[in-house]
Amino acid sequence: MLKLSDLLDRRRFLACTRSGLGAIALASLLERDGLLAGQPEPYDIAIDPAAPTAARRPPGRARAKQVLMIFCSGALSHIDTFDFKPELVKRHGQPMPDPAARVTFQGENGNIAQPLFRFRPRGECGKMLSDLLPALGELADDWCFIHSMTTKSNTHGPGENCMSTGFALDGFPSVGAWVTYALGTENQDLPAFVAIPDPRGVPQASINNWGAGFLPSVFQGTAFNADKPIRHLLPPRSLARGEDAAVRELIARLNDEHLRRFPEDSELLARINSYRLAARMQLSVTEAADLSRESRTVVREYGADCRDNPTKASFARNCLLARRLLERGVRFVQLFNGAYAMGEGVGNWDGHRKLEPQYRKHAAILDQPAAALLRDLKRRGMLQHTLVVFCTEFGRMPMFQKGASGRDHNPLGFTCMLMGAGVRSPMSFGATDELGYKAVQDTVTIHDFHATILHLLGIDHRKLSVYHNGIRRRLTDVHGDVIRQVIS
Amino acid sequence: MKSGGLLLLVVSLLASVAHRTHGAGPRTGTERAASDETAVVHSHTRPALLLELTFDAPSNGVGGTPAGGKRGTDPVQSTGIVAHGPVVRDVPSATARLGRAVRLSGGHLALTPERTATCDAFTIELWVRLDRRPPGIAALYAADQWASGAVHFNVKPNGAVELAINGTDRYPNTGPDVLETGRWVHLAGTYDRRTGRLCIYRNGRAVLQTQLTRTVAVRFPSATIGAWRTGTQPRRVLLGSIDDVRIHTTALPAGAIRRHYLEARGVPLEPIDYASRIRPLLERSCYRCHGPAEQQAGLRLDVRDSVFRGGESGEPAVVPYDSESSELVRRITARDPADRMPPEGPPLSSAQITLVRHWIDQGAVWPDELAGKWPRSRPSSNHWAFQPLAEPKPPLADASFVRGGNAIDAFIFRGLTRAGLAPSPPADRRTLIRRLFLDVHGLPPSPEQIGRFLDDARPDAWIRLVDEVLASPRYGERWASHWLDVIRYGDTHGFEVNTPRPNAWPYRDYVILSLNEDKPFNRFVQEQIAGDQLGVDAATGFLVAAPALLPGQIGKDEASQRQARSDALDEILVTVSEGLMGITLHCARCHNHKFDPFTQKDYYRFVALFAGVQYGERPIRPGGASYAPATRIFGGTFHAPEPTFRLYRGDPMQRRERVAPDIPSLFGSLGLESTTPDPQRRLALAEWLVSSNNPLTARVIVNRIWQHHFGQGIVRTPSDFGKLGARPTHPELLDYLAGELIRNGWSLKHVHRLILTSNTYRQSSRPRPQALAVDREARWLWRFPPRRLDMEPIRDSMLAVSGVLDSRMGGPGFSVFKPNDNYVRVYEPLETWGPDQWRRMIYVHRVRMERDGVFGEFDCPDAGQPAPQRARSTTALQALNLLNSSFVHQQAELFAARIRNEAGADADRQLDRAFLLAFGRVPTDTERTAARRVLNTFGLPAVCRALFNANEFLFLP
Repeated sequence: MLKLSDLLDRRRFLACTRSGLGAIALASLLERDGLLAGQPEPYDIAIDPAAPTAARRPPGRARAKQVLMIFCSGALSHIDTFDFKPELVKRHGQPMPDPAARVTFQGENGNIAQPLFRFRPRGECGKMLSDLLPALGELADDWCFIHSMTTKSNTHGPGENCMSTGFALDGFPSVGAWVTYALGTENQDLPAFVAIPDPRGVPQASINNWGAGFLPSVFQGTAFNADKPIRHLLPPRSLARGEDAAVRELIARLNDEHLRRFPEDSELLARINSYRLAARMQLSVTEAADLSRESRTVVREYGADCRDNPTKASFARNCLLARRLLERGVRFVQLFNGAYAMGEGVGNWDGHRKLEPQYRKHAAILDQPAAALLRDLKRRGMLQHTLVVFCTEFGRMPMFQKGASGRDHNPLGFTCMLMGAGVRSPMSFGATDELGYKAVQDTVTIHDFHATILHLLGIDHRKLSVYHNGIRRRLTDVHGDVIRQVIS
Repeated sequence: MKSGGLLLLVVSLLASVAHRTHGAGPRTGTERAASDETAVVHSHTRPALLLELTFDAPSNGVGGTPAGGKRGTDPVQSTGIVAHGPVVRDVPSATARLGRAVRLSGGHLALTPERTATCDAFTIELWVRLDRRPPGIAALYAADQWASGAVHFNVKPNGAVELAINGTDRYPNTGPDVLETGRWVHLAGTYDRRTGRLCIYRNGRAVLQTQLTRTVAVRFPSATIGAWRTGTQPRRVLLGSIDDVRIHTTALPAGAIRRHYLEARGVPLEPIDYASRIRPLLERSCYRCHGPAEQQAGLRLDVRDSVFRGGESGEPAVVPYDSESSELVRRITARDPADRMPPEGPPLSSAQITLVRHWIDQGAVWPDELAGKWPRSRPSSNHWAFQPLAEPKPPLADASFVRGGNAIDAFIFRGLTRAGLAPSPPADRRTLIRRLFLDVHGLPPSPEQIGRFLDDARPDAWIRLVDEVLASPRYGERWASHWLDVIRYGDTHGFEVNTPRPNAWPYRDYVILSLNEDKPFNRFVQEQIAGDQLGVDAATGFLVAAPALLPGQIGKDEASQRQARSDALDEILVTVSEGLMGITLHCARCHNHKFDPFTQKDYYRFVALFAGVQYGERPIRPGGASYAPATRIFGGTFHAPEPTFRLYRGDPMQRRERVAPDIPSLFGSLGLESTTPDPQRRLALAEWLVSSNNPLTARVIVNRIWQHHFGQGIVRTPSDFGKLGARPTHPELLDYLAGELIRNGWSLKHVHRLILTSNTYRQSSRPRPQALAVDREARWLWRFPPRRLDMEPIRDSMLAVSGVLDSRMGGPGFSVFKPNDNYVRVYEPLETWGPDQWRRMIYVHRVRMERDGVFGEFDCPDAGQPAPQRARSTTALQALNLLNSSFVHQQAELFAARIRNEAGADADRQLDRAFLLAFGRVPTDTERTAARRVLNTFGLPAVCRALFNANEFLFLP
């Protein structure tokens, strides 16, 4: 029996990396002629085709090892949740002073509308947060609020693309794909990067949020949730006992025969290895997704037993799944709250028409389970090495839309939050103007936000790049500054 | 001067007052609402000056100061027009103060002289700021009666300025883009009857000098500024502001006009010396970051070329004669500290700023001996890919590999020899036929085809087989997929809604058909750019192959609208420039290309070639051949082109100068104007793309062909032949193949045949340890590089082997997702399968983002960004999909049924047949024993499933 370790010494797999994975790592080419003089030298990430997601040491000092990204799809209103603006109450019913606010994404707007939920001080820090998400608000002392987020599009699809890939266009690698490309993962028996879609469906930019873009497929997020396991994880039930094992054995035999004709071929070896990995994954994913092992108390704390709100219970199970995956070393977990558009504000946070009743409905799904997950991570000491990112694609406007009681898209200023490993808390960074309309102080771009996430993982965003069609592509395009102030 | 003395003009004003504040630019001008007033204008007695209209209010203190700080409390309102102007003043020469102007928002100034002046020569000068380009001709100055000697000074819709004198032989104009919108421009026209000379000046510089053959004396009767008043309705209405109109009765020399311009700007006439006054200032304040040691943003202020061309931003730091357009001035005067230069320390003093401004407005005279040199300021155009095609001769070598082969082998052999390598022996016939079929058809050969080839003893058996394979329609079905990857073809729109694009498929069929009929590649290129003009409607699906936002997904605000259009045009540019030319012009969208000699202006000129193209579908006119009847094509709709501007930092809200459609200046010019209509733009591009002046098109396509045969191109970055791309491993071979393509009527099949019949292609793929140690990737092709198949041949092969492949060609695609009609499409993969899904993968409905639930995991591109090369990764999910999906289980059952049908009940015959169908060979003894065990216990389908999962099934040998 051939042993992989005998055949794949390190020097060789470095050499075959480039052929095995196509043109993804042409760093050496780019250095030629000193063309990139003055630019930081990109990481030369060596990927073993037989174990492409093997853990790789972070190039810099890592404050966090894992990431939990909670993504509220549909544009969660900062005005009604985290960004307290007393001026809105005073100027309720008055027209917006800035004429540019007259026509926005959906068209004409009406007057300034005060927050739809009451704000009160939370935590020891006394941060003013609204009654909409009280349980998440109770964690005020653990959050680092970034109130000056901005993005490049006011359309959901491109907006989600921006938040997840740094680019408004389709087809770019997601932040999770970049992270697993750089770092691999600790547990080879589980996917390196898991995307957990909302029980109601995939988010608005769907697979783009966890896509690999022009990176190899292996870095794409594997999408499954508590209700919908990985497709094709297990053989059909109709199979005879022992048949699956026998088929795998035969495959191994055929492959051994074939390998004799192509000794040392790294792609062939990688495929042989992938069948072993698949077998282990069947066991470990099944185990990780088995929520029956959780105690009743935990289930109740998350709200996974909630009978009168099945969507909430289902989202709570996703939260439990997220914790179990993180516990088992999955590098990047993306947890979605909110699905694709199925009527304005019905499936997600897109509150154009009747924001208040819609938001009450969504908040009931999000608040308790997500807060329980964060408390649980904290209790188990997992926040020591897990970075939590709470985000949405953009914010909402301080005024109502004309003839409606909801708010239009606002890419000019919104709030995202960080928590956990390496993050300063309690902290409020940046600010929108007195109406919450535009970021005016310490403006943060999506690129700054991503640069900071990578930085906390020990990655210099300027150096993490792959060559694609003439450009050394980065998650942060050619921009981005680490927000030093939010780092503890 | 025939008319002297007192001249009384009655000026009726239907206009409003505007500020002309040159320093702060048009953005800070303040304007008042229209008023309808009449003012009496006094005359003067200077012989040379016939008329002077200024609109400066005396001593109101605002003239010449930036109005930015005065918004909302404009003193114009209180001073009014009747009280203070317009006046004609008695001045020794035409000096003007920068001050208020008149905004002619649809109004005009009527000039009624006491009597008509007649003269042999004249100069008309004025300041004008267009609000927008006129839809037709607009009058700056127009004599009311169009009689002999009448003068009309006009603006054309394309920004050209015309000086027409009734009775002369022609009405000369400057050509487009002399007047832009939103900026104050000084215009002057001169005419002299005696010399016939007519000149037009813009900002003190001649933009037109011409000679008239028939001349007349000119007359200044009643006339109008801002419209042509003939009859009751004013025509040719100018939308904009004017100021300081003067008519002189001599043709002023260029120097005088230049002086008027500079004086109006407050620029001293005494030349400012660069060496003693400008350089020290820049040295002190700027060189630290933009000098010899450091060149932030790619800008070196001590090198003239870099300054005039600009740094990475594409914004010239200095535009001679035009401080207002000079980025240097904008940055040293910026109010926003984040924008202002120098970034640290106090801003430049106003005296320093004025000095720089004046130096630029004087022409930014920078002596040659101080020009400085910095190679990076202008990326080299010596790059190999931009050179004309060479005509290399295949090198001679006395080796059987070369003697028995063709020119390709000669080039490859030389490369091998230089690398200290030797070629591999030929592969056996079984391997060869399997390689050929999987490579060219994406399907395995049938046992019968294998048998025939093995038995063919003729010396040209291989060549015959190659010809047969290239003649098969399966060829086009496989190779079309490579082309669709390059241009990210999809059957949905992408982005959030990702709804179907139901009439995209005729383009896919057009590609298959074109490849199969070996349409000359030059014709193929031209049709894809301008098929609507060439009777091949489906071909233009190429232009709009990219994802697109639907109108409902675009914000109603102007910024969103412009951004979406700008993105849509960028996608077209990417498709054409990367796909056909192998250049990364899109890198110059926000700044000059950092490595290749393409400027930002080049980018926007190229964009302008497509300014008439909108995403959308149109009817297919009958005539074009197709595999299935099609009535409509998502191939773009064509309109009058919108104007194209260079965008500062790529921001659609920050328009700069208007640009005319063109190819990158490195390659010359198409000679189009910014008014050239749409089809002419695309036709000109199409013609140039395949002309002998373009070295790229042929090189790029032969490299793509090579890449798909050998796994890697001669240039390993197939859509980037620029400086950051890979260099060719075999540059002469690349040029040889490109030459072969052109010499053979651009026949792609000729190039395929050349490659497939080479010894290089026919080598064994077996590894050789010594060669592996030198060249693991086989870049020098010491063997045929084996590799995993793409997802399409994997799925197609499975269907072919199981015997259910539906080989029907063309027509709408089949779906591998459950039906869904939510307005935002949701794509749930199918779980049960039937004959509807058993067509070849090229006919699948290509959904962007979402990939086939079973095979997509095999590095299927998501049609978001171009994928000229696919990654080849190996994942556990691939294994799970092939092991457990209902698709593969069903195919294994069907495969087993076929074997039972063809081989009967005997287990050994069944296994022979199964291996022959799947691998093209019978099993070895070891394999037979292992397979028998599974067959006996679990039945034939279990064996079939194992065969579908085996490496041998998925590999190109």
